[in-house]
Amino acid sequence: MKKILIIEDDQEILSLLSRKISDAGYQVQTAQDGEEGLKILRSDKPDLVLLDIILPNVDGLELLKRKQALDETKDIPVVVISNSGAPAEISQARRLGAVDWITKTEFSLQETLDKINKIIQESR
Amino acid sequence: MESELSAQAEKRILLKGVQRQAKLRQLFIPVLLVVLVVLVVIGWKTEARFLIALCAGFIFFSFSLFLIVARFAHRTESLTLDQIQHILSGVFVLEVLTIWLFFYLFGPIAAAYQAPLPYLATIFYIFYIILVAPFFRGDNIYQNFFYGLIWIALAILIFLNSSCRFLFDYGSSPCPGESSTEGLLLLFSGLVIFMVQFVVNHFQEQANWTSDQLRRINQALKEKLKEEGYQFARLRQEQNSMRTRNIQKLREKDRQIRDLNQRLKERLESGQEPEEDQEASQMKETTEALLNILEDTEEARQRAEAEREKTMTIINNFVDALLVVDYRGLIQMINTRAREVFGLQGSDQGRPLLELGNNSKLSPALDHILDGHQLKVVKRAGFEPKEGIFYEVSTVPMPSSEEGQDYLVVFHDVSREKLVQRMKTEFVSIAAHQLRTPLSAIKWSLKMLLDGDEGELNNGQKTLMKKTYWSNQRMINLVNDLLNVSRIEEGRFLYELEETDLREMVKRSITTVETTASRKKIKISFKPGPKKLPLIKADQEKLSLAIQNLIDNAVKYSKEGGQVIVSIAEENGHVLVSVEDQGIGIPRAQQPRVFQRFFRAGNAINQETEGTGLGLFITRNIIEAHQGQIWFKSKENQGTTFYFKIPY
Repeated sequence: MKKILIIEDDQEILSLLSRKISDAGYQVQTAQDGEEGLKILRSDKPDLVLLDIILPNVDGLELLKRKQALDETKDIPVVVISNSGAPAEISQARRLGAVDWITKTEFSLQETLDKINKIIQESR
Repeated sequence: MESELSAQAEKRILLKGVQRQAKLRQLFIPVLLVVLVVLVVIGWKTEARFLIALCAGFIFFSFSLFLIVARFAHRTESLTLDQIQHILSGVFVLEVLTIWLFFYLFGPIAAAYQAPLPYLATIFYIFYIILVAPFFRGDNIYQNFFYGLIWIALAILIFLNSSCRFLFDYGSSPCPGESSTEGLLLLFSGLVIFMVQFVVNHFQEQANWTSDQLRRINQALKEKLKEEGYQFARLRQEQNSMRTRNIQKLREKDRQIRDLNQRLKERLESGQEPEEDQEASQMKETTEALLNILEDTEEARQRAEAEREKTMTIINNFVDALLVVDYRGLIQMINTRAREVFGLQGSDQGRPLLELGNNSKLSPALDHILDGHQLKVVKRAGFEPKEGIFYEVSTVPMPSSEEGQDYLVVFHDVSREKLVQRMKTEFVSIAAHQLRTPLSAIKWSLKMLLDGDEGELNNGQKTLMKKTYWSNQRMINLVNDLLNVSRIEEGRFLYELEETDLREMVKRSITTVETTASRKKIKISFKPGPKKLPLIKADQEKLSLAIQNLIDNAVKYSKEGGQVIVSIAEENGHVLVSVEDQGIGIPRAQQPRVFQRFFRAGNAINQETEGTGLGLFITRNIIEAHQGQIWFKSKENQGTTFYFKIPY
């Protein structure tokens, strides 16, 4: 079973996402701040990470940087889900290795799930 | 006069000839000496050895005579041509006799060696004639006498030879006796002499100028001189007449002044009233008018001075630092603020701006505004005089003199504006996020309900739910718009400038669109450009945004299966990047508006409904903030190429 790590600080969003994704048959892990997220990333090595940018402690971009710096984690695909959406941030995230970017208000849950499926398939 | 001239010329020619021959003869003197010595030695066995030696000496002397004459040729200024010719003739006659003496003394030696004396003598004399003939010019009497003398000398030698009556015999064989051949020999030699003389003379005449020719040359020269003389005389006359005229004018002026002087004196002495004399009253009026003008000028000057004071006060209290630099690159004015900010002093006025390059606060600005010694037009070029303080420098051409372009240099502190800009961006980012989070949670929850994830809804419930969903969506749209409006100023300010490899940046941007491009079956090719590409100073975050925008657009508006070509080049101090696509293009009518805020071309909206119309606007801001330029070429349905260049 594929593991998905969701790093998101908003409770509602987090619960909606985990419900949709686990219903689709994935094993879901969650973290509500960057620090925690990195820990789980290193220990559990999920197959995909859904990452929010605005996070307490270590923010999304910083997490990406650190993730890229470690051999063991740098190949894990990351999809940034965010609502800040400044183009500068998007391109920076891309530069730091994010595979894709989803703006929560633009994508439905189903579309998010489709993207995840696609990426998981392609990375096989 | 003419005969004198030709005589002079002839004399010179003659003397020249003498010199030439003297040089030639000099070569033979040593030979002659050797021959004479040998002969003396041979003749030493006879009794008259001393006579022989004496004669040999005399022969040597006589041949040297010509050389002596040649040597003293330059002292012949006082001698006429005729006199010189006489001297030469005398020398030649002596030489003929000497030759005879030579053969007379040493002839028998030839006989002893079976050498035919007459022939030797004849040949020798012939050569001698050729040698001296040039010196006989048209003086037929002399010439004939001379050649006659030679013939006689020869005759005597022949006669002596046949009768063996030489002075000495050198133990030679017995006398051959008289024979009839002497008569023939004599005749023959005479003929030969005559012929040689004739031939030589003929050639002489051809080769030299005759007196006739000289006379004609002389005439022409005289004519020329006369002409020159006339011209000269005429100029002289003109000069004289001018002089007289000037003198007359001066005298006239002098008289006028004296008259005026006299009249003034009379007037003063007689104490006349000024009104009675018209001229004096005119003068008074003129004086008054002049005084009025002076007063007005003074007033105008004072007003100008006051204006200047006002302007200077404004300038000095201006919040921006100002400099005025003239067309030579010298600083004409430094305002108070400039003095404070850059630590300049009054003494810096008048110095070339270039010299202030060692002022650490000012030098980064100078890189932007100076082109060698002179200024160039610059708009809002950013620089950091101190860490954390940001300025923008602009140069404004001033209405100036014919000599060249003066500039006003304005330094505007943008530190606060930059800070505000950054704060605004951050605020907007956070605000957007904070507002959107609950909105997206609502959106997703509502969608789940509408999709029936928690059970089927009845119609009434569905309708109500849909209304709520759309209201929520409107809120989301409002937040989007708010975000966009605030991003308008995005890209104006650059934050961190680093040495950047533009090529690397472009490559990375290309990799980010590869997945999207491959989905549309679009091929992206990259032309990397020259091997050594200079680095540019860039805000990497912003510039990659701009590049990303162009590449994203190229892919977004390309048709399926198309090609996107990204190229890099280097061109006069700039790095040039071009992004070419074969997509929908930009309709001609809409091309002028492409960089405007919120503008999207009609065909672009059709292709891709989503888009803010801000991308190119922001991109242009970014490129221009880097002192670069951006432009494009496009044809509807064929494709578009965007170009930008940034100086390095």
